Amino acid sequence: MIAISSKLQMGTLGALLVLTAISYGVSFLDLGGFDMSVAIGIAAVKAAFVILVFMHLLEGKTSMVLALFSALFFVALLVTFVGVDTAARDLPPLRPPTEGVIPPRDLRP
Amino acid sequence: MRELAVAEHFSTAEQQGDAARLGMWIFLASEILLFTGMFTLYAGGRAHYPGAFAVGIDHNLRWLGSLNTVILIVSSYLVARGVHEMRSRRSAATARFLLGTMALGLAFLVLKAVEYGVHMGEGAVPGGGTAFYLEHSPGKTAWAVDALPFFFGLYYLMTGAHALHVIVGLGVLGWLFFEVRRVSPSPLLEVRVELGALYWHLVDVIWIFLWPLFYLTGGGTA
Repeated sequence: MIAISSKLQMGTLGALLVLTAISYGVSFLDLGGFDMSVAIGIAAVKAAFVILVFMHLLEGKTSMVLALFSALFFVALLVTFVGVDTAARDLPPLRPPTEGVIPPRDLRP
Repeated sequence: MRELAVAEHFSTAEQQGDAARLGMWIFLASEILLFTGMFTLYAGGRAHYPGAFAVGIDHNLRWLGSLNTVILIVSSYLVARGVHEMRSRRSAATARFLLGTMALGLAFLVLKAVEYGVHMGEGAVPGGGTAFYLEHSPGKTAWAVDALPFFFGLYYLMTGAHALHVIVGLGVLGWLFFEVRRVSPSPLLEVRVELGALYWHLVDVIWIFLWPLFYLTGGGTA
């Protein structure tokens, strides 16, 4: 168990603001397909800072960590399976194609 | 000053506090799952309509969303400091930090309302059907024109659900603001402030993920 001092809180704020600035700056660059991974990666690090320090999970009991991780486990489960399923399917039938409309498959860039 | 008493089904204040904290974490876990449903919808939508999502994200006001990110992060820090002060039994300082947090939360909502106003003015309304969608859709076929309203529908759904949480959080913090001034400092009061702060942090964490999804990852340099 680590005691959270006001110094650590201040440092965490600094780190969060720096990460926000990096995320903002990087968003103007073309990372060739990795934009999303980088943005979400930075967001995950920021969220970890908030949860561990501001939300005092560093000082928390195992039961609280367990509650959080059981949620994260189901998040991973849902996102993974929906992702795999979506990637393996065609466009959903939002609206039946009418005459003169390009078939949906050709719209995929 | 009112005193908080340990509930009769707990033997000590510490035990009651731990039970309350665990209960709060379980509630927060359920909140995460609520938003996960929407994040999953976003992932599926984006996989199918990358073009419409890129147009929509580039259309959003990046500076405004980013300013709101900074506002929420600083507010999260302030409420964490409030908890810190409460643990040192400084009620007045706690109240000041709570007030600062609420001021920033209110600023967030005002900026969000300004942004909604801009979108509505342009015709990017929920549900589609306006000239805006015809003009900005990456493809002009019926299929493609449906994709941009889908993006903005998600935008309103997710940022709206988040804004609702901000409003609830403001209510909780407002209640705590009065509570710390009329209840004498005790471990049980600390727990109350802590739980309110936890909720506010969750609101911050969710925005940390909404920000890149709706403002940063359009791919354009607009």
